[in-house]
Amino acid sequence: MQAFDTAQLPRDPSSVRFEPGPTEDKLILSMGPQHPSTHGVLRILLELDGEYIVRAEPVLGYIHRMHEWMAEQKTYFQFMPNMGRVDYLHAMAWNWAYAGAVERLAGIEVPERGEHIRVAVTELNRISSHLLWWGAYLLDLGAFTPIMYAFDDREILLDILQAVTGSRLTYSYFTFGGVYNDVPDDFASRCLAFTKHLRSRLPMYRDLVTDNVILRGRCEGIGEMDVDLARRYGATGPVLRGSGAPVDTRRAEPYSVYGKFDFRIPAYSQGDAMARYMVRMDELETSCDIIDQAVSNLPDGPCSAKAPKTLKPPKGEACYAVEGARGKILVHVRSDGGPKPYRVKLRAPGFSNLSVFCELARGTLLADAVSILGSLDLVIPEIDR
Amino acid sequence: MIPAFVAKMGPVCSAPMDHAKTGMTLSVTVEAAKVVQAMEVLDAEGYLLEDVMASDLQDGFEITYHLSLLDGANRLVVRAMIPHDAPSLPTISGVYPGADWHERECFDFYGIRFEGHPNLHYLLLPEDFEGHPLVKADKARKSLADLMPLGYLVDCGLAEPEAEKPKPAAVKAVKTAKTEDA
Repeated sequence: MQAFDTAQLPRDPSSVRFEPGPTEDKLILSMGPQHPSTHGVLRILLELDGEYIVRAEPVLGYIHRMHEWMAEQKTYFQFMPNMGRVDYLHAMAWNWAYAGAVERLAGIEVPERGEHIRVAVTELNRISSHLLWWGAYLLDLGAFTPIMYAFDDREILLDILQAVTGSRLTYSYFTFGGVYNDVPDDFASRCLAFTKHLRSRLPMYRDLVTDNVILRGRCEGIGEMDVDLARRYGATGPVLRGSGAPVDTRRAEPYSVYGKFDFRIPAYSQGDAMARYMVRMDELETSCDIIDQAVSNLPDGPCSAKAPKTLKPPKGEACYAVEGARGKILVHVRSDGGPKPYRVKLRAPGFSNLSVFCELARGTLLADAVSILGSLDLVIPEIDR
Repeated sequence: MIPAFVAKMGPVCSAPMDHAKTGMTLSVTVEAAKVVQAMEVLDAEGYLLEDVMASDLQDGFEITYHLSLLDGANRLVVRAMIPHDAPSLPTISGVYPGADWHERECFDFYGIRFEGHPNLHYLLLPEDFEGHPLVKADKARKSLADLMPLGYLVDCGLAEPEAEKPKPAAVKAVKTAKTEDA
């Protein structure tokens, strides 16, 4: 049989730095971009010694859409729908970060009712994001049933959000000065009914899944990270709180009306995948608490301030940080006084969270790397932007 | 926190900012060669690196590092300006490993070379992509004076109220004069 000459194969530019090493039993494995546990199109190049990972390098950019370039070509208003597509699982938070930055720049005040509606829909969206993460993470770990329960609950939530926004996933509900439409009359009662329902389901989730010995075996002591490592990599959100630092933008830099509400910031000090799991499960309750407070005394009045149709903020710059489901979202807008932004920078929390992966995966089993990857709660469109 | 940072850095140009209006509390402009030193000081004080952003201005590429302490509204931005014809500055990935990808992203979009970077090649763009998409045409570029409110420039010592448009050469002179006064 004729020997197969690998030198004839087209070279993959990303794997140039992954040439076979000096030892013969090193294996270079390309995980993804179509691997189910990479949630979308993420590719990870792995150097394996047996089943242990020696080196891991994520390869990004498979769904890079250059949102920052689009921002410079469109008016402030026209760029708004892009925000729902950056992170489709927590679109409301991205809506908010961009709207907030532009409002700061243009000096637009949001009326009280608008703020309450913003808080309620953002927290509902956070729950839907966490539920989807929960289902998908367990799917990664080999448990098929939980995602069915998660989607069952998420369906109620999406119906509420559909009645408010008109869409089920890529919301573009925020506008400069408030929200597009006022909520339907039964919004508050539907939200309260949902939070009551979700609270009654959480003990079952705990008994069924969280206390499961197989899950604990897959998560406990896996991918340990301390606060200092998280800080140096810029990891935020549940990843940072799972390392023991109760840091939340809603508390640290209270934006909107979050300062008025009473809620707990869950944090676990173990720093492993289980700690990150527990933080997100506790955040479901936190979000329920916030929704209850936001909708139970919804102020009267307009839901949106009047903003000019062609917005021309004065020259200057503004940042706005929002706590998304995956961490701190930061939008930095620079204006030259014209109708289009001069520069928009989107800081995606998943981008920084994923960059820790190289560090966490080193020396672990390949199967544990899947568990670590899932515990970081990645949404690839947000990372690639 | 701020005085210690300024004292350790030697002459820097710092401008306090209003968090309610801009989301930032302090802006510090340093020379490109000094960014690593600045990051070492900030790392020792427990700052988290949020982001590295580049902008294409008439004056050159401006690199903006967003940092904040873990708790509280205290966003600090460190800025450095580098010329268009020699777009390079030292990497800070040795201090903040999280900067590795942010710097690669700046390289993707602007072609900025980060000296000493362990792995500087396209991150988000395909490897065979030519050019850097966010670099603006000469005509579209705006100067710092066109992008910043006047108050900021005065605080930072980049312009005097009566001067309409500072020339790039004059900027440096004003800056050093201001810092020597302080």
